[in-house]
This record gives sequence, structure tokens and C-alpha cells, in this order.
Amino acid sequence: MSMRLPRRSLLWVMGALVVCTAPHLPHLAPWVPAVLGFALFWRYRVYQGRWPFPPVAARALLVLVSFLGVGLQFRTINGLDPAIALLVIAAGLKTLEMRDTRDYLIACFTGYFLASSQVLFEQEIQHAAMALAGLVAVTAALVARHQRESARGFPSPLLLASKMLAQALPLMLMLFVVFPRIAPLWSMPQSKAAAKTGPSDTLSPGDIARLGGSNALAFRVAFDGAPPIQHDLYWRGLVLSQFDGREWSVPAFARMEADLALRGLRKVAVREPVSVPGRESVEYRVILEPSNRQWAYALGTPRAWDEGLRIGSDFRLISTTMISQRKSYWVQSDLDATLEPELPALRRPLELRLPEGFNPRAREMARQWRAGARSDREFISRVLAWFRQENFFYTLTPPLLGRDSVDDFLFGERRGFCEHYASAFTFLLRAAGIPARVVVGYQGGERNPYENYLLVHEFDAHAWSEAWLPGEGWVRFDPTAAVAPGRIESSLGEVLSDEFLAGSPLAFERYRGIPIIALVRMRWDLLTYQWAKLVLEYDTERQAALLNRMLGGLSPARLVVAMLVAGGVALMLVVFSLFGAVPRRRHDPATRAYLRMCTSLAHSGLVRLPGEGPIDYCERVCRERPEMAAAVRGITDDFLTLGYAGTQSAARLARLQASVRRLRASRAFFFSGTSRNSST
Amino acid sequence: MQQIIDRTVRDVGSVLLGKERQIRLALCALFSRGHLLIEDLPGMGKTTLSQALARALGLSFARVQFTSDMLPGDILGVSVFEQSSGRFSFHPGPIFTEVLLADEINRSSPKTQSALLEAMAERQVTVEGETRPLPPEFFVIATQNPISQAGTFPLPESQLDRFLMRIEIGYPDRAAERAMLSGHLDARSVEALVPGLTREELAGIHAAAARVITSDMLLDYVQRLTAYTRNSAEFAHGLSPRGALALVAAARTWAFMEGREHVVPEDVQAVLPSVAAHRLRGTGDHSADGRALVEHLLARVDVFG
Repeated sequence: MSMRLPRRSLLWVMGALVVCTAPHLPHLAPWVPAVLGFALFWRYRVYQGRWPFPPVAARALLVLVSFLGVGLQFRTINGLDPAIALLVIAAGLKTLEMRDTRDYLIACFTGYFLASSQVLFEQEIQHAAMALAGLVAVTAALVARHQRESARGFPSPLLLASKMLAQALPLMLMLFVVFPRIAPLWSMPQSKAAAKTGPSDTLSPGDIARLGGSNALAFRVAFDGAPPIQHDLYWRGLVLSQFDGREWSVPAFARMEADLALRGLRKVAVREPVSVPGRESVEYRVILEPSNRQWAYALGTPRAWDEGLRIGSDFRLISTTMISQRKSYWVQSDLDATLEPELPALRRPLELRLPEGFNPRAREMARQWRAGARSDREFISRVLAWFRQENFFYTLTPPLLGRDSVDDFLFGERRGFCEHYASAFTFLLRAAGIPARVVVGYQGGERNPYENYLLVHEFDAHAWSEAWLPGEGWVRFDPTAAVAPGRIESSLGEVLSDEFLAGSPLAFERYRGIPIIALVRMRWDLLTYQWAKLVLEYDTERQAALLNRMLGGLSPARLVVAMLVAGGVALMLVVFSLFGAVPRRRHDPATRAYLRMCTSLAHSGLVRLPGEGPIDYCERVCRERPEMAAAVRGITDDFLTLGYAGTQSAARLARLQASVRRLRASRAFFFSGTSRNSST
Repeated sequence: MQQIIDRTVRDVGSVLLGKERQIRLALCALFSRGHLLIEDLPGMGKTTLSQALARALGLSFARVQFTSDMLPGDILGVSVFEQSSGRFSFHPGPIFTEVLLADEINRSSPKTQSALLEAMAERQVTVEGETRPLPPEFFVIATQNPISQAGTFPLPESQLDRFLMRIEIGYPDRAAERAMLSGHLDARSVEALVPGLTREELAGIHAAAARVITSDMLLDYVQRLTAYTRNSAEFAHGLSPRGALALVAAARTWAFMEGREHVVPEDVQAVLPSVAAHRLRGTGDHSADGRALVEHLLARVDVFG
């Protein structure tokens, strides 16, 4: 291996390192890429011939300082983030002593490592694409290393590298499908305590409004069959039945259930959830984005659900793990079931409890109105009508509220977001003696027109109320619908077009009214969705299921046969591409007969060389096998006459073919004779 | 006809001992109406062979010794003012003959070498704007030293291409050299050679050689050979169509001299080194030797495709 590096290849490897490092920028401290940039710049000056290579002492110092920097920043050099930082620095510093092929290869391999390590952080389609770009760049650098100085420049190594990777693609796909997914041999360090997203288990004024400013995706839903109408799309997540005067929160038993689910218990509900089935049910699959929380969302009353979910006593779904990766689950829901037709006497006070000394005006109003109403229903209708008729205002930017938040809201500002309405409404119901609670989740969703699935974003987060009515169980009431019907019928963006995503002017969702943006957004989401479905969710179970389906069973024998067949097919393809591509020439009958003779003689050790003419060959055969001389001479003479003298003679051709047959037969006899002799 | 050829070979062989194959090749070139270039070190018998060939063919011949200060006029002829008639009259140069022996052709400058181009390709000479035809049987038999020798101007490729064959004589074998050294050889001097061929016989050979059959299969082989020289990376440039034509013509004559009425692959292989080696140049590692290149070519290209 030559020690000298082609000059151009240095630029290639430096470019490749930049491409491989770029995807890591979001999780690197800024000084780490700066070290890389500094090293590359120095190496470039060396390349230009302006600067010398740094002396050993300088390099040692750089290494020491960088290690110290990483150690100081992370307090450890163990773990994913410090490891990546060290890898980037090492790649940069390696270029500073890159003089011969060995160093060049090390730099390239570091590049491969960098390119692939980014999928430890994210596995989305764009990250896969960036990793692929890194692989192409490093491969191109390797190609450039092995090209002659005179070879063509810029795109050509890139083209060759792309071609090589494209050729490797079928193998990659096959390995992806069939390669055993071995559980990690070591525990993968989590990159960092990821931020929790989505609704939390407490609700105070302004919480949901804050989510309303986020255009992040919460989950996607694919329905089996037609999706329910828009205003049935209430995705229940959390049930908050505890109120401290300001903040709604989940009761203690609900927290306990979540804890039990996390520990893997099969039955976690403290009370058996009771419901009377309705007539209308839907089935759907939810793909939940990572939220680092435990709750899963479902419509109405879940009837059946996947492994990995548990049901709580208030019919909410709980995941058995923290959702730190995308989680996909299937649910069958009842849309018009009756929840808890009987409310146990012990629970009633809990669902009615209000802290003393808060919000006296609202409490008083509720008491008077209930006294004037004949039934709970009538009271609820009056409250909703009041919300509708009075000058209530739906806004994402509500004013701050004082100690008596409900009083302040109902009789003061009257400007609020859904949690204000849900909270005040539930408060009024409880004050009137009707068991009521706040439910937090999402409402609505955006349909992707290219495939039948819904996108539910953080800004679809919503809070509403459930009231318990005798004989009807828990009934959903949404005071927001009374104030801003458009929020439920269409979406938040339609109702509050001015305030919607005001904090992120570049968000695509803001401009989804523009057709081209809507198209790009939905197409892109479809791609991510398919990627998630096909690639990210392909785990051991699905692999086993797929292999099972393909092979009709998963016995070792079947696997071995399948691998042999697949390997055989692959080998056949290689053989075909190596030898099959050469077109076989069609020869005339005389030449065919003559070549048959040559093949036959070749079996007895007299191979005709490619450049050996018929006369020379004939003479050689006659010399080495005098016993065949007469036959071979005759055949050669006939062949020369037919092939080169331009004679068209059917009789001669027949004679030639007959002689060749005889020669082959005699040879066969000769060989079969020897084999018989040897066997006796 | 065969006896005539064998006799001619014998006649020439009597002055150049032990070189029958080279003599046959040289005659093959001349019987194909092609020009012949003999290349070897000084003292190998180049001039002897060329003179013997010229005499044996029974044609008129002129010998020109090429030197570095030679001018085209020295070969082609000049117009001289004649006092007696008061007019210019053309004094033809030595080229107006049937066989031109151009001795040490690469000692002269390219300018003079080029004076032969038109004569060799078109059998005519243009001097001072007037085109004069050369005799119908016009051959150039040139000799040259290998270009590594001092004081030589390599022939340009266009000039080389016009020689049908280039042959090398090589050292004599042991027996032939011994016979020569002992002085007992029955070798006659070149001057003692009597013309072995009549003009009619020569014309007959020309005509008969042109009638030799080349089958499709043989032409396929020739085309495979030329295609290989054109497509393979080992060759700087491939064989020209003129080179391919020369190959077929020489193979025809060779087959005729071997007593066949059709060409077989062995005929092509026999003449290929002499016909192609001076027209091909290799690249990189293969640039060394035209002959080695041709050997390689012959070994690689299948006779039957």
C-alpha cells in the first residue's frame, strides 16, 4: 500500500468529517465543533503548504485540553454525550497527523462511526437520510484515496460511492428484515432526561393555553373503517377530580394505579371500572409520540386494548412504561357506553368536594340556580346557556387571575381558554351538588388526505368536564363548545387565527390554509408516518410474525432451508451477473461440431488455447495423442474446408458431424472402460 | 507456381543463410504489392537481403544510401536549366525505378523521409507541380537501424503505416554462422544471383494471391483482433483500417505461398507480428515492445470468438 496520499483525497476526508458531524450539532456543546473546525482549518493550511504539521507537543496538548474540557463539561467521560463529543474531537485531531494511509483510514472509520452513531439519538427519516449522506461522503473519501492523482475530480468519487452503496442496498434491506434483533448486550445510556410534553397530571389556569402554542405532534391515529365525526373526537387522557381552589389534579388512587402499571401488574384499577356497553364502537391504532409520561389517549370508553396498556378505575388508559419512544397501540372503544351507572356513596363526596373559603360568589350563584331548577339537567343547560349568552370570550392569552380564580373569571374578566371554562363549569356543578370532574386530553385532529389517518397536535390539547347524572352515569359536557363552537367543529387555528401559534411565526401549521404548504406538510407527515410504521416499529415480535408468515412456521429447519435458498438465489444472481452477461455467440453447424470435438479433447487434457488455430491444435493433438491423429486430422480438414474455404457441402458437414460423434463415443467408451476396470 | 516461389526462396536463401522464415515473410510483402521495412542492428544482413530480394524478383532496382544531409530532390529528381535548349528539363531521381532500396532510411531527416510518402502510397511523384507516374511494379525495400541507435530520426507513424511489413532478421543460428565463419559455404555473392522470376510470373503471383478465399469466419477473426487492439486499455491506439486491410492482404499471400486456396487463422497469425507490430503502441507497462504486444494479442483473442 502506497504511503503517499493523493492530495485531493485530503479535502474529501475533511468534507466527509464535516458531513458526519453536522447531525450531531444539536447535542454538542459549541466548543466541540469549534475544535473540529480548528483542526480542519489547520490541516487545510498544511494542505496549502502554508503551515507545518503541528509538533507532537502541540498535539498532545490539544488532546489533553479537549479531554479536560469534555470531563469538565459532563463531569464524566462515560456515557453517550461525552463519547460523541470525544469522537468528534478525536476525528478532528486525527487529521492533524494524517500523513499516510493508515491515519487516513482511521479518520475514515471514525467518520463511519460518527455517521451511524447519530441514530442513537433519533431514528426519524431525516436522521436516517443524514446518516446515509455521511456514509456516502466517507465512502467517497475512501474512493478518492484509491484514485490516481490524474483521475477526474469532484463528483466522480461521490458517484462511485453512491453506486456502491446503492448496490449494497438490497443486502441492507434483507438484513433489516431477517437479521436477528439482539437485545443490547449493555444498557444503552439515555442521552439526557428528556423534557416531558403533553398535559401533566395537574391543571391550573394557563396550562392548556401553553400547550396551545406548540405545533408539536402528540399522536397519530389510524382508524379501521370510517373515523367518527369531528365533535366525537374527545381523546381522554387524564381525569382530574381533586380541586384545591386553584388547581385541579388527579386523585391519589389514580397516581397509585399509574405506579402499579409501571411495576408491571396486570390489574391496576383500584375499583373495577363498570360500564354498560353502547351500540357504537370504533377500532383504531394510535402511534404516540414520546412524551416521557405514562398516559395513553383513547376515545370514549375503551373495551379492548393492546398488551402494554392497563386500564384505570376511571377508564383512562395507562402505559406500563414511560413513553420515551414512540409507542403504538390498538384500542377498541365504545362511543356511547354508560360509565359507572351507579356512583358508590363513598365516592360521591369525593366528586363533590370543594375547598372551603374560595370563590364565594360562584358558589352562591350555583346554589341559587340549582334551587330554581327542577333537575340537574336543567341546571346544566342554564349554565351552558349563560356561558353562551353572556359576553364570554375565548382566547389563548387569558389575563392572570387572583386568589378566587373562578369568581375572577366568571364575574370579572370573562376571557379564558378551555381550562378556564372547564374548571369554572365543574366548580359550578360541584357547588350545585352535582358530582363533576375535569377531563384533560385532546380534542379533534387533522385528517391527512393522502392516507386515512388523523394527526393530533399539542395545540389540540383540551380540557372538558364530566358530570355524573343518575341513570346516565358520567356524561361529557364541554363548556368551550358553548362559548366557541368553532373550536370543536373545526380546529383551534380556525377560531383563533390571529393568536394561533403566534409565538412561532415559521411554523408550517400556521399557514396550512395555503394549499402548497398544506400539501407539503401532509406529504411529509405521511412519509414520517410510513417510516414509523414500516421501519421504527419493526421489532423482534413483528420480525417473528413476518418470518412466520413467510415461512409458514418458525422451526430451525425451516430457517436453515430459507437461508440456504436465499443464499443460493444470491449466489445465482452473482454468477449470472459475472458470466451470464456475456452473450454467447451462435456458431454455424460446422464450427459447433468442431468445438464439440475441442471440448471433448479438453476433457482428456488437451485444451485448445484461445489463440490456437485449428491447424496448430491439430498438430499438437497428433503429436501428443498419435492414436487419435487420424480422426482429428479428418475432422480438422473437413472443418477447414467448410469453415474457411467457402465450400457449402451438406455431405461434408454430415461427415464432420458423424466423425465428431464417433470420436466422442470412443472417448466415452474408453473412459467407461477404465472406470469399470478400476471398480473391479 | 509453387515451385517458382520455392525456387525464389531458395535463391534468396543462398545468400542469407538460415533465415527462411524471414525471406518468406519479405517475399510475402512484395507478392502482396506492399513495401517492406527491414529493421535490425548493423551487420545483420539487411542490405544483403534487400539486394537479394530485388535481384531475385527480376526487376530493375536502384539503391539509395540515406544520410542526414540528404534532400528530397536527391531522391525524387530535379529540374535543371539546359543551356543548349534554353529550357528546364527534369532529371529523374533514383526513385524512378521498380525496386527502390532505401538503405538506412532513418538516417535522413523527416523531410526527406516524407518525400517517399506519396510515392509509396500512390505510386506517383509530384515534383514542381507536375505529377509523374512510377512504374506499375514499384516497391520500396527500406532498411533501418533500431531507433535507439545514435544519429537516427524515427520514422513518423504515417510513414510506418505505409510499410506493409516490418521484419527483423535476427542473429543467425549456430550452424549457419559456423558455416559462414568457416568460409566453406556455397554462398554466392549477391551479384551472382540471377533473376528467378519473370515479369509474367510475378504478375501471375499477384493475381493468384488476390484470388485466395477469405471466409466470413476468418474475417470475423480479423475483426476480433482489430477490435481488441481498439478497445483494450493495453493499446495506446488500435489498428487502422489500412492496417486491417494490410493484414488480410498479407494473410492471403501467405496462404497462397503455403499452397492453399483459402486463408486459415494460422496464416493471419503468421503474418500478424510483421504486419501489426510497427503500427501498434502500448500504454503504460505494455509500451515496451510491439512484438510482445502482438504475442499478447494473439494469446488473448479466441480464434472462434
